[in-house]
Amino acid sequence: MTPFRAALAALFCLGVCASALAHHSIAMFDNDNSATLTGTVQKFQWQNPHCLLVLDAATVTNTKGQTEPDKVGVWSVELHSTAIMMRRGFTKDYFKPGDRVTVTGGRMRDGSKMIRLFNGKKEDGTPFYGDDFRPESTGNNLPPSP
Amino acid sequence: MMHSRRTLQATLAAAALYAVMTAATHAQIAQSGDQPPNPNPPSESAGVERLPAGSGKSDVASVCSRCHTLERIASERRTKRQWDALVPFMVGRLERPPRPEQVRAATTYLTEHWSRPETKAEAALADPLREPDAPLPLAEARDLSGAWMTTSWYTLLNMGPADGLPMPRGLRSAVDLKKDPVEVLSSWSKEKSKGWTIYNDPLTTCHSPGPLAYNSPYPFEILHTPQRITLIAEYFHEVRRVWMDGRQHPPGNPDPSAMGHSIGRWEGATLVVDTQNFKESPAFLVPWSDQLKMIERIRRIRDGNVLEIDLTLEDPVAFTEPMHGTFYFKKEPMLEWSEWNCDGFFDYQPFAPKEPSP
Repeated sequence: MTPFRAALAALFCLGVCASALAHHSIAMFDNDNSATLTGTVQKFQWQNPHCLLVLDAATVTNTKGQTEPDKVGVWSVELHSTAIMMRRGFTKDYFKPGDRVTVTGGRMRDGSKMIRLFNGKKEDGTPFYGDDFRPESTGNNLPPSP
Repeated sequence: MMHSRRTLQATLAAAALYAVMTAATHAQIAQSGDQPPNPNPPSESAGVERLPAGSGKSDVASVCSRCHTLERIASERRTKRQWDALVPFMVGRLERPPRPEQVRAATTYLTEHWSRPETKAEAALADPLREPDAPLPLAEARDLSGAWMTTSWYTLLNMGPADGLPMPRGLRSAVDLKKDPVEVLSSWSKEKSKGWTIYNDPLTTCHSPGPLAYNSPYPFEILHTPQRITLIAEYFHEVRRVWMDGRQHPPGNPDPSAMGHSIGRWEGATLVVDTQNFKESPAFLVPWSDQLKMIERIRRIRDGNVLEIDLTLEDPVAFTEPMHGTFYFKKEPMLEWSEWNCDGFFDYQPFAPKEPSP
């Protein structure tokens, strides 16, 4: 299947707007090559197309469980749009500068320090989710209603 | 942690949309030569040892692992009805479909080893022989007002029917349901889409998604007022006014628009919306011309709690055959609305985008 055919199939076969998933496309991220970052929140941008968590990562762990000391530093963590975030229980103040968090997500394919969030944990253990809509994570397969 | 992370990755990598999108992008990136190849390609046989022995195991390994790691398969339990629906659905999307007996064997194996009992509610909703929905009183059936949340998007992400709903069916050729939609794209469409990359999707520069606005992970709202029914999509703030006063489309497409000009009529409890006078899509993944005609048949099912939209698209310039699909939306009486705009798009620069080489 050519990329063109595949890309069209993505939209047509599923009948969903592929671009809705990500406005620069989630395909920039590699779900099979994730990173787990533990660090301190520098800022949390509540914006479209995607909210961004800017994190000063003290440890970076790859898919194989190995740490990557050369990758520590400031990373961007991409989350959902504001509307989806809001319906999943986030607010603009959910993360505050100085919060310590651990996050896991697919890495940018170009090697830049950015991930698309799968899930994470606050310092007190509170879990939060990104591209994880499994009923066992969210309790539902739709965004929760208030 | 490793296990759950792995499972999650598999879940996401295997989810229908992701699988295809990722395949597209892998190929695209591989072609562009601008990006490093994936250093950890998924292993085709990953997790095979976790599947119990049994008749059909090799079929699961050869059919399902074309797209999914087997670990992913072994992490899910579904009802027999769900496996029966899901396996052929997935297989139907393969370019080289396996033999029917392989599909049957794989389905049987999965049902035998990875199924769970159906709940009463699931059985009641999914049983095709069940009593049809008691018809709503006509006035109620024709009241479409309220917030409707897509189920299709999330259903497809979770790869199975939600809440006992039928599986949404994405657009296919209306003439031959087996036909991959790309097979009905005209050369005009193919030419037009050539310039599309993941980096220059027109939505990134705030172009309207047009008629696909409600095919998004966002809800929309329907309002009834005299003379018209109004659909407001949260996504891009798109508004469609469906004129119910008997007027016709302005002839000659005098004012082409992203959302088109919609007129509606009732056929019993079904709202039939005819939309024309579109403007040509900028350069979307899916192109359409200003000749696009969209017919939606909209009705409430499941005791009024679910909106079914049956969609037919005709475009003599962009498609060689009409296309058809069915989507479901769930009534969300308590939905919290948000403002979804694209104002932030122009300053969203978390990284320096790289243009793939031509």
